[in-house]
Amino acid sequence: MNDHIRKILLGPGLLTLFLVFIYPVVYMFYQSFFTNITSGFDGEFVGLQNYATLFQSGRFIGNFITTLQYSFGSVIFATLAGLGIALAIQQVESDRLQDIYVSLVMAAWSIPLATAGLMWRWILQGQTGVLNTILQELGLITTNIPWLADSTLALVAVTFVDGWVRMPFAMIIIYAGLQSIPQHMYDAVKVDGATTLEAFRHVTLPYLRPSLFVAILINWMFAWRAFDIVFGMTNGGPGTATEVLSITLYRQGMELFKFGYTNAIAVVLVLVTMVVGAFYVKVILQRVDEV
Amino acid sequence: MATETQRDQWIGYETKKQFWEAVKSRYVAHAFMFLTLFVVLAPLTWMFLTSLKPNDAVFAQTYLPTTPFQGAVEAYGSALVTKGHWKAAMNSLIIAITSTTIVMALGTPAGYVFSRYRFRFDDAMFLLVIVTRLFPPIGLIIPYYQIMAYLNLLNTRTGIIIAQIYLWLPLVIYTMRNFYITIPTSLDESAKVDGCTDFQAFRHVILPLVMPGVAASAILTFLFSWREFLFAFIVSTDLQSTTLPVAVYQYIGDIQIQWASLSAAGTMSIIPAVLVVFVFQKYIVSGLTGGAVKE
Repeated sequence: MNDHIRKILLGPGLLTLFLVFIYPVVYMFYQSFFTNITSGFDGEFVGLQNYATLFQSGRFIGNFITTLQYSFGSVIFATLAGLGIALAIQQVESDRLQDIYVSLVMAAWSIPLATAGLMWRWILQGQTGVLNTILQELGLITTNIPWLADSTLALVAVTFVDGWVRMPFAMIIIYAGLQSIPQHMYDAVKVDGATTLEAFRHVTLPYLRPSLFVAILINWMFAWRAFDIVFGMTNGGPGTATEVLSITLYRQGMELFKFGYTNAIAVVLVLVTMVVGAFYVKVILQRVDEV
Repeated sequence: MATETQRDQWIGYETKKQFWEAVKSRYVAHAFMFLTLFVVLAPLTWMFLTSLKPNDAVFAQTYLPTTPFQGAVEAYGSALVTKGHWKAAMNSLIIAITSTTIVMALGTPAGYVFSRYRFRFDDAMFLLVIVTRLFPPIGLIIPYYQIMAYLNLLNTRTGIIIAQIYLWLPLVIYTMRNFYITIPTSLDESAKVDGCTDFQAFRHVILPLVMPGVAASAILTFLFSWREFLFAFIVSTDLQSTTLPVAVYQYIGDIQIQWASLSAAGTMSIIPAVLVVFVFQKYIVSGLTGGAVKE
């Protein structure tokens, strides 16, 4: 009977997952060892040639570093902002107002990332963007700042916007973590005469560690592979200043049709994610044993 | 601790305490939240305001639209009718609803099995689910493109829906499992003692109890599916099948970007998502936290 229910309830889901996931993944790995496969299995086996080309390419190394800067910058901003906002919302007395604040912050999270990218591209436009207009009217700048046309500024801008869209998720996870801290812990340290800062350091932070861990890890994994924001804002430009690996992958694959080479990039991207993901999985599986 | 206390005395313990009490006050919290909400909502508002301006008036140095009604008719008219984005809106809706239905139908029972039964390779199968969820989808665009081409599914809604099943099914299995875990197994057992079969225990006892979790997962899946850009863009650029976020991006190819129409299309791609968040905030929060951590 047990066998039965497992097969019927789990079978269709797993089978579907297997079909829509495993086959493309195997095909991805397979292609990375071949010259361009245009259909089926028609390429020529070249071993690690695609990978060798990859790591000899200065552009790939450069884009790898850009991706690291982008993903770490985004996560640092998202986590600090998320933590600050979660703490602020918790200080608000009325539950209703807390809900409204959470909903409004979540508005930034719910919109399509590609739309968010285009929206910011419009705001940050060098000549006609509203940010420059506002800064000029406030007298803070005299000439327009080319936010998306300058290499350094463009990378800062896309990193900020990526953090902007990821901040609400960090906020939610941290906010949920905050609510699980028992009030009597705060009462206890208050009796000891602890200041707010000490209570934060000795009660809040230790309790928040799992939430922060999850928020940072998940946001980083998603920022590491992020495509929509950069594609919408700069499409990797100016030049290759904001060309993160997902954009490289898209350009090499869907624009230049270098399938073998592109899949080698994909494998590198996947392996880095999986190394980091392993930490997350380890934590999850540990919890499974506790059930 | 001793040195810290000494240091506190040097700086003036009371001053320090007063400072942090002030930081913690709810007025500071409200002020901080107003600043946050400005950073969060101003860009959305600006896009909406732009969508109320005629295309040639967007570069004028006015913040508010001078002729909002006429502007809206022009921008939304151009996006919906001239560009034909009403089709993309329909596609988005059809694809999101179909994907959500399929993924929920497959994932809800699967999550139950993972939460209740131990069997051969159970950890390995569960690992497959988590790995699928963490896997970077961007890595699969070439294989997907080729497979869809082979199956003649490029520029079809079916092609996008298949990709969406890959994207959201593992999330639902995992999130649903976490919701089932919060329901005590003693309920299944007592149902079986009362004569229920395994199926009846699941169908008549556990499933009704986990309905808030089902709702949370379904709402999240709908939202994620509505927002999805990459696979919709890879599989289809044809208005007969593509989704709203992809349609918005198509303005970028124009020689002169029509920012008002783009903003109108962008606003249309945003409004349903924002409404869903406002109405179902509680469910979305529980789904997100359930999908990220166990409780």
